[in-house]
Amino acid sequence: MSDLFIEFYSEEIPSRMQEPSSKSLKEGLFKALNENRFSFGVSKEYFGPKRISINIKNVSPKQLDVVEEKRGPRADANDKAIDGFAKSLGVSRNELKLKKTPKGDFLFYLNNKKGKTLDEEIPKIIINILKNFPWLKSQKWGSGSLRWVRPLKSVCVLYNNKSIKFEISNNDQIIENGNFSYGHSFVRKKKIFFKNQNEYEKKLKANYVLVDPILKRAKILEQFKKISKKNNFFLINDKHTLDEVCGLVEWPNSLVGKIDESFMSLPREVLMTVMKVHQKYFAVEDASHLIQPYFVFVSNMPTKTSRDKNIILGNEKVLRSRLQDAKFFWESDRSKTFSSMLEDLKKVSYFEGLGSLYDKSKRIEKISDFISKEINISNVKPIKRAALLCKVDLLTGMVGEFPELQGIMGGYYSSNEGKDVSDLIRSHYLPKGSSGEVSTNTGVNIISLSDKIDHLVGFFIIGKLPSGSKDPFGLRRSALSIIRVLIEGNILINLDSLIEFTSKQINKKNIDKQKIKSFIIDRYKVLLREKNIKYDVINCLVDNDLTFLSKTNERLVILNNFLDTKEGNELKLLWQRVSNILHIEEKQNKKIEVLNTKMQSEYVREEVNILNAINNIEKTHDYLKMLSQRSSLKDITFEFFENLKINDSDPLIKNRRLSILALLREKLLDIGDLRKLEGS
Amino acid sequence: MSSREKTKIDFQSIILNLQSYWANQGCVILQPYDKEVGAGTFHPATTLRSLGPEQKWNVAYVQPSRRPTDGRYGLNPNRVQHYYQFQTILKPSPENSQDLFLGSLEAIGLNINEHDIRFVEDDWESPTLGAWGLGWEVWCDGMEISQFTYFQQVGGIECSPIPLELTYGLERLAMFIQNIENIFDIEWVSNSNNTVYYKDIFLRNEKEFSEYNFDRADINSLYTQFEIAQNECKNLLNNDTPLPLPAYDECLKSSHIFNLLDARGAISVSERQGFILKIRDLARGCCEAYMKSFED
Repeated sequence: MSDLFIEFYSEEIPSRMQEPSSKSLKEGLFKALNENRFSFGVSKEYFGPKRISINIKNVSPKQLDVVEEKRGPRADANDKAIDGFAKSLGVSRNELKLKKTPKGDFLFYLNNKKGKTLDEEIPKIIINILKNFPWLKSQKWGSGSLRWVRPLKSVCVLYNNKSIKFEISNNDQIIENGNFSYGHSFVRKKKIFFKNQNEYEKKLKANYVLVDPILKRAKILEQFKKISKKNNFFLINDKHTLDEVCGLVEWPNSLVGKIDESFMSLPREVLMTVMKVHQKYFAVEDASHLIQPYFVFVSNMPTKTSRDKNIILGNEKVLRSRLQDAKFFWESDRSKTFSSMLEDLKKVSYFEGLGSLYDKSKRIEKISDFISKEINISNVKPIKRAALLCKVDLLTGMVGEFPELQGIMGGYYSSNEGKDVSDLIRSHYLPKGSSGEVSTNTGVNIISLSDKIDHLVGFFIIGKLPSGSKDPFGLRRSALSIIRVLIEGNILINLDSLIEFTSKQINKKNIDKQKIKSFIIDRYKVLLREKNIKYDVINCLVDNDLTFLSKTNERLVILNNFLDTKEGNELKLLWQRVSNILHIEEKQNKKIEVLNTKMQSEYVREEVNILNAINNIEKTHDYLKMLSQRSSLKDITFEFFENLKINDSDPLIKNRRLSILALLREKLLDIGDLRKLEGS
Repeated sequence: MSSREKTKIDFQSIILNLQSYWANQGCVILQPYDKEVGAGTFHPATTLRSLGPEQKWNVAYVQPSRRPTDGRYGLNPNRVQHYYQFQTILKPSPENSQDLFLGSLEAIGLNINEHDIRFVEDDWESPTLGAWGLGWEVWCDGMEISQFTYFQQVGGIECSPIPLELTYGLERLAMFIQNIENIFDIEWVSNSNNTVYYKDIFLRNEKEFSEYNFDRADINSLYTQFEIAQNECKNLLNNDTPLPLPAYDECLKSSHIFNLLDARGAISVSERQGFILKIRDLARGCCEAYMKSFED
């Protein structure tokens, strides 16, 4: 048993695609080896800017032998049929074997297929993987029809320390193939020969390629640590940039650049965005989280004093020109009064059919006012003001240049409106993305909710709905944000009236409000499934009553947990038994009245007991109490079944007992539509 | 700059060196196209010839490029509405594409071993040309100095063979090589008895054209001109014997007029997409007619 090693070496693979493609390579190979009956052990994957590679331990040198069965005619068929079958396989008649099958005796030919060697089979497997590789985006090059993420330069396949050679070409361009790879693209761009995984790691390292992605990342972090210690600052954690940078270097060399003090008056977010988004630099801060006039970046060139100096100077210069732009915007944006730009929003179209950004701002203001009043906010004034002004920063130079600073710039630029207003403007885009935090500030949540419900209802009104995987206007994202703000922000507002009010602001009458609500409910169900809330529990509560989302959600969580407890199980048993009995009777078209008369003297003891118990349970805001009260009826109800016959010969008594059960059922349904529960 | 790069190379020498480097690699050295275009890609030597039947097409040329919205009245050290691109097309893309490109950087005095050159993902797309390709922006010490693209489609038509497009932003490259921070300080020519700066040639140009692009261009007349160019293009294409080359000129005109309207702020967000689609249809029509002409 020996190692199988494979490397695909190409021009620079986009950073974000390296790790996923390494996974695809592993999965593709494992699948192919399985299908081709090779056994294999554990693997280790490598990826970087110019290569994806993998080493698989203990790959069998030969395919497993198999017996291939070919069924022929019935054993009692005529000679012509039997000879014909043998002839078609090129074997003699006495090589056929008789076998019993459930359908009778048949003649079979058993072909002992000897497994082929890995050396023979692997070229086909590799070429197949190469031709069907699931790149996110791939291209052709030269005059050939091969596709890869960028032009493929060489393929290395080693088995048991020896290279397996085969031919791959892209029309007239030969893709090299042998026991070699290449060193660092700039300082050691030469063939590096090796025999196995061990040598691969070692020799590439000696030629300035850190090929193990885990070691490379660790190396960068170690360099960051050293730099931080030496300069007495801390790198601001930025996993996204770190991931990206890892995929841009073969040999990380982290360096420090300086920022001119004159730029340090820029807001922290502006400095960070300029560094991160365009340059993939890391910002640094001191122990009190004050941003410092330095940046850290990762060069791909091995350290050498004169070269490091060039590279630092160059990067400082680029950052300087970017920061100059930012500073220009920061100053020119602030030369106008923020609120005076509101009128200019009239000139910017929000979307055809949905008016200008000014129209939208007015709507957000009105919807925010509506929500605030519905949920009894005492001080509505700052919320309305912030709602009206929250889109103004879209007109500023800074947001034009750095769209990711929307909201944040509004927060800075509106400082003369008072801190409460500018804080609301700053955060009104929360939550960002599906996992971004929801604000703890109710005012922020009101404006965020208004913004998003206006977007959702608006695009429903003009009929730009998502289809399939396409959601060009982000309506699913909006719906998800609406749900999360309602729940996590605990905003107790009637969803129907919110949709109703919003659609009135957009001023179109003919809109199916139920459709919008269903769209939100569907997203809500997806979200609940992701949180592992069971389908039946979801259906139990969501379809039943989704007027107040945050309330329903609270109940869902309680019910989901409750059903897993002993009490919950008793509730289920109780529900099943009661609803089954009634169901059987109702199937025969009998309508069973819910007991509504006063207790009569002829009632037997069991009937009195159960009725007392039923009448003792309440409908309350304490949902858990509702659940446990109902669950506690199980024993007394089961006693009732044991001691009394429901199916009494006297129809009056029978109906009375059924009516008692119907009453019980009604009480149980107070907690949700239990008919949707599994096993009901 | 390192000690080895002491001699500053002036702007015109950068052009001359690039031309002679690519001429030595077997390129036809063409001259700029005489229409206003937003990038070197619009030159028919790139668009149409990328698609054309020749199995080999290697050219290089300088193309003045106009982007009216990028004008800053000559006040911004990094942005101008008129600048130069140096464009190389190698069809089919050669096996040693990246090495050839790096060689061209050496040819203009950039010692690649003393800097940090990076190929960073940047998939190129021109919505108005119906063209896209995969490649990178090339960084030198954090500054973008070139675009490197393997064309896949032009005018909505698959390329075969695949052309490689290299686009150098000449001013940026010059600022890097001359180690200056203001575009207007670029030394266009510099020798012992004569130094001419970029500002001597273009500062006034930037001021006047920024004012024209942003404030003075007549919107109604531009709309009319757009219509005329569009109709002319269509008429030339919808004919028993179409003339794709003159039609393509009209397509280029319409594209520039659109850019002017955009700079004048005359186009709303929703209208924008409509204009782009109109121009793309024209470009597609030209490319299709051009290709069809080889079928007969």
